[in-house]
Amino acid sequence: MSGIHTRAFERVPPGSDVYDIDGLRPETLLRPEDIRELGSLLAYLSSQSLATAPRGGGTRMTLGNPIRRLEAVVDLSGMNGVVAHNPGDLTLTVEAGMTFERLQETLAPHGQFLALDPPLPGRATIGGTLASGASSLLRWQYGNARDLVIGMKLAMASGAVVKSGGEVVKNVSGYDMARLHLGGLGTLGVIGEVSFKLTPLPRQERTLVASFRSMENCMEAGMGIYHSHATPLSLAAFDGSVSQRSNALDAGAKFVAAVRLGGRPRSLERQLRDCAGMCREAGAVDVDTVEGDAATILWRRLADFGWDAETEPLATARVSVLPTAVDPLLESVARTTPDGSAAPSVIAQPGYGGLSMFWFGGEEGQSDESVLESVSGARALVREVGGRLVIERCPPSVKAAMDVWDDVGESLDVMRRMKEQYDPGSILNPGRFAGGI
Amino acid sequence: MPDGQSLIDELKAVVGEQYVIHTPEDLIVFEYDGSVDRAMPLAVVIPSTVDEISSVVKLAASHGLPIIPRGAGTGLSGGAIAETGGIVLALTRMTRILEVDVDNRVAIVEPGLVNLELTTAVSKHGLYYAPDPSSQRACTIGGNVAENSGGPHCLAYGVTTNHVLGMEVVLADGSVVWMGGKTREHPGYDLRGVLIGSEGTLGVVTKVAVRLLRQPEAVKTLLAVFRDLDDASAAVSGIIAAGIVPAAIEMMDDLCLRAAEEAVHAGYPADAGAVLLVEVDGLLESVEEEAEEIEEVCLRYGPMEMRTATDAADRERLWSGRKGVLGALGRLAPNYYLVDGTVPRTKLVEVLGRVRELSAESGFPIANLLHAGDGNLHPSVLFDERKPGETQRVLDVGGEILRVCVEAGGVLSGEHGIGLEKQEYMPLMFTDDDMDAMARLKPAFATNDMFNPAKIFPTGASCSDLSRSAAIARAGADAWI
Repeated sequence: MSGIHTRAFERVPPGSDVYDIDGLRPETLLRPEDIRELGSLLAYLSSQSLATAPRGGGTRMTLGNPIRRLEAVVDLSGMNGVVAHNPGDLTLTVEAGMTFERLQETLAPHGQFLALDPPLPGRATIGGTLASGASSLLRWQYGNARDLVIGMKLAMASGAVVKSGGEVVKNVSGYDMARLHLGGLGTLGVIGEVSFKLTPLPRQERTLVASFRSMENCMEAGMGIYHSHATPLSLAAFDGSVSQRSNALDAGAKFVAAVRLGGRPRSLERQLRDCAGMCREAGAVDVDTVEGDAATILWRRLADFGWDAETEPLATARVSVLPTAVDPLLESVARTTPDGSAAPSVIAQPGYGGLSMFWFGGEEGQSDESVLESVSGARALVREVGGRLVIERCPPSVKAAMDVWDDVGESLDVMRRMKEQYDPGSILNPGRFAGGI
Repeated sequence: MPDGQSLIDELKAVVGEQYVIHTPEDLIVFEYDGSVDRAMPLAVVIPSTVDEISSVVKLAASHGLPIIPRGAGTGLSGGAIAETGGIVLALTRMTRILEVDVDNRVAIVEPGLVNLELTTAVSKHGLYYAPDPSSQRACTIGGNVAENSGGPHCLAYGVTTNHVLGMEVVLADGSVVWMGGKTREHPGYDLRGVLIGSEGTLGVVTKVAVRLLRQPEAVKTLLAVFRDLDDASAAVSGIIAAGIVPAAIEMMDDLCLRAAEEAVHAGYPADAGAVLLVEVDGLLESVEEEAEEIEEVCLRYGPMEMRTATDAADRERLWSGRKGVLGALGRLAPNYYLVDGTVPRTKLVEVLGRVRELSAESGFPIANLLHAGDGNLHPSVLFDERKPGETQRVLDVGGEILRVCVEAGGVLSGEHGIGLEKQEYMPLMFTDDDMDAMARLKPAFATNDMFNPAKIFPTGASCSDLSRSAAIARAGADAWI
């Protein structure tokens, strides 16, 4: 137990449910202060075969299949410093427990940002966001975490602290190990430090908000923009229930396309003009421009939707399909849920092929059985168009009945062997990953 | 040891007689790639389908022989060398474009397809494939996947891993699995992510699903000539500080300029110390706005000359000196050793200063060619392999340059890979624990170490014992960077 401070150990108060996962309550809470200590703790936990869940801001603990056992939670929020920021290199290395909000605040004075926009940035940490594969509305333009992470330091279940990649933007030195941990839910190792490629903040920003009578028209506008030369930072299409529940927009708006545009003055003007034109052509009943705080709040509420206290849904799913499959998918979902109360709220990203679905239930509330029916029905429709539906939040009975990760395909054997290699005692989030890994 | 002839017969039964090469005189062309190393395989097999590959892999496994996948053989780190013998699997017959999904901007291609041919094929739809290694007229998509290749334009658009969505792979037991697919996201571990850049050591990639990008509306190229490298480097920093990430920022030093001038008559001033080539693309208005700012930045550092071009032919002229430079180095010396490393871009001046010192200390002229925007440098050590001992000394200088890169916070390879060339240098960057974590991918993929063995990881040989090189680099028009 060398290298571990006794203050790193705490007992979880028996009456507290803060650290519960899938109804299981851990006994021990561990708070490492640096990656070496994190490694030492993991070595100890492995030696004692104590099932462990890493935790950042605790915003996405609903993710994953039911955890098989849980003895300890490793809280990384104490590891929250900037390791290196080199503005001239557009690179940044931070500890995993830093929140997104603090990270962006560190960068903003330098005219830079990390082009990820996860839910609840005031609480969500870098490590938790990356490990849980949280989606980002900025992915439309900048891609996902996998396109922005250039290096990583990990504490492995063995206690070894290992690095992959580096602090440069172009690198093929050894295997690109960091990929395994993005979306890996900490099941192969715990992310301790991350190096990112940064992006200059757009010179100016404006958001176009267009209202439509149907989701079809809304998607048509979105796909038009996708096929044009415009390069939005984010492009979201959503239904009236999202506007209403999030208080993001006037409740009157039925279907909305929001287009976040940025750039230098002339290119921004041109994009606003082009995108507004495409929205009108697709039948927009209203096209408006918002900027400043109003735009910031709109995008914040859209990103937080389904995760903040105001909009807590019964179930949330993330869908990945081909861009052209989104519209037909939404039509078939609407057709198979004629009962409006069972229909999910939807935020789609036209042209990207991603959408999120949220089930809230009707006025009397929806039973677990009917949520299960709705979610599995939606998954079947997604599978019909060659996509995958990952459940990010749902009642325990749904978790018990379905693999929340969907079918990961033929390579599940390789994934299982990977777990055997990196966490042979299966102490890291046992059971929570795909296929019960 | 199995009976060699029976193996050859079995291979012929799988792929057809004419696609198994096994006589010494025929094998010679497969003895080397674009790097320093040579080794003779037992046989070269040129399959045409995934089923044939699966059968060949099973056959090799049953004979206990390694498989060395090979694309066009343009690699610069020895990735396609049959270091421990075995069967070279040349994928050059598998060149089909299986699907172009224009609306979803995805293509599925076979691994032997030449990089540029993909862009050529989809250009009629207004699309292109972004990663553009300088060897793109010859190198294959499969080889690009193995090396996670970059190219001048990866500054803004990223490298191969940012453009590959999934691939079909033959594993060591002959099974065929997809990792990733046509959509942008897939549940489960990102296996495609670790497979890309794994230098052919984990499996044989037989199909690749790639993203296609929309051709930009406008492109503008700026060429700025500076008195010295420091001014050019300062201009690069200025461009980044202005919040611009151009599509490409390339730099060449005086030695490169001299060679390029003699070879392609690019019209550079005789006393020029460095040339910067900057390209911006995208929306017409944004190209204009960014180009104006880039010009302003460059003017701050007293350029001797500036030129700009927007139409394709003029841009090609500005690029000609850069594209012809490697071939042109042959005018300065019979051989060159091209080193590949990346450093934080703000360390470029410091590292180039150290490279100059190493040149002075060793007596070897070193020409510097850089993808300056992303800190990727390619010092080329000029020498004559016919002089006894020069090759070894040049390799030592290359090793020193890598050490300087790593000490400056950089890495061993920006885009060529580790292969055989740099395996002994891995401990400069990685601890035993780091490398152990990497090595565990092999049992995870259950490779039994049959794919491209003896690469990437150090063998324990001292760096200065690397005497395998007969010829170090073939200067001439057939080499790219």
